[in-house]
Amino acid sequence: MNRPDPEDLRRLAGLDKVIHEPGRLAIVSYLAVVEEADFLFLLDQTGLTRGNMSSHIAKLEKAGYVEVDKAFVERVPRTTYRLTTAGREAFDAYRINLLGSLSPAS
Amino acid sequence: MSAPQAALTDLERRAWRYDAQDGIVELLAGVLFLIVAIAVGDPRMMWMLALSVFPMRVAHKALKERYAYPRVGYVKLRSEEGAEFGRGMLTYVLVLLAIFVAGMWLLGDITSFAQWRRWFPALAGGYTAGGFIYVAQKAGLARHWILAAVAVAWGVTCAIWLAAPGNLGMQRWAVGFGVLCLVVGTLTFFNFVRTHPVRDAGRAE
Repeated sequence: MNRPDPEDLRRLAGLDKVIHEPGRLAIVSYLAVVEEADFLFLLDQTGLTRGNMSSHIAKLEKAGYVEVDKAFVERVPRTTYRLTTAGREAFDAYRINLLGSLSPAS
Repeated sequence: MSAPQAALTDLERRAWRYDAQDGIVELLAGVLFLIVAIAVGDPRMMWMLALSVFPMRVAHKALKERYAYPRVGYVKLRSEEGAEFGRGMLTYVLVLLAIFVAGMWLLGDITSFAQWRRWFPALAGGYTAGGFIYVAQKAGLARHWILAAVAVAWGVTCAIWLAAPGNLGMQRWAVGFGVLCLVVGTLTFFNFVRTHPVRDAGRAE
């Protein structure tokens, strides 16, 4: 068996911890493939509970990765989420780092 | 394609499928094809076709807001942009046109307008199929593949076996395909409304 490359392990340790959490990773992954989505859509797609979803979104918003827009549509409140440029860049960097760390040793 | 990229493509497909499950696009496409049938039948009614594009967008938004989003949530899909998408669309349009022109040449008199008019339903079917194939590739739903196949098959049928003088062939194609889209859209829409209750409580977070 090949010994792990210390460089790869350093990369793994440097993964963005805001995105690395499974719930947040699911939210960010979905927001990366659409332009924007609301709470209900993300709830159905990720399978998270409402409480979990709210707390993860709050953390992503605090990190500046997700932009939140609250509006009323037909007198019903709709909260829309979209990835910010920083969020998109952080997600791309996360994917590159993760792929680099887990790729088979040459 | 790497595994993470494949996973993202799958997520995108799920989002497209989620958005297409209500049948609203097919329903409105059906209405649009019926307007096409009227406009083709009487060129004086062509304004109806030109004016129908904006109301269709408004109707699509209104139906989504009223029936789809309160049930399954709102998602705005990423719009295709860039040179690659434009090139793909242009290639499809030109290749289909080239096949059509070659077909006209093989069938006899390429300068005969009557012959062109007779085969217009097949051309319309081919272009309509392009739209449905695009959505089918994105969403992976069988009904879009079927509608694409029927658009072409019905176009060829109207050109060969149901050939009619003047614009009647094209009108037949538009009415037939419009009714099909309307039926598919209506059934899908009512099934969607029946199986997905409104979840207002879930929207307030």
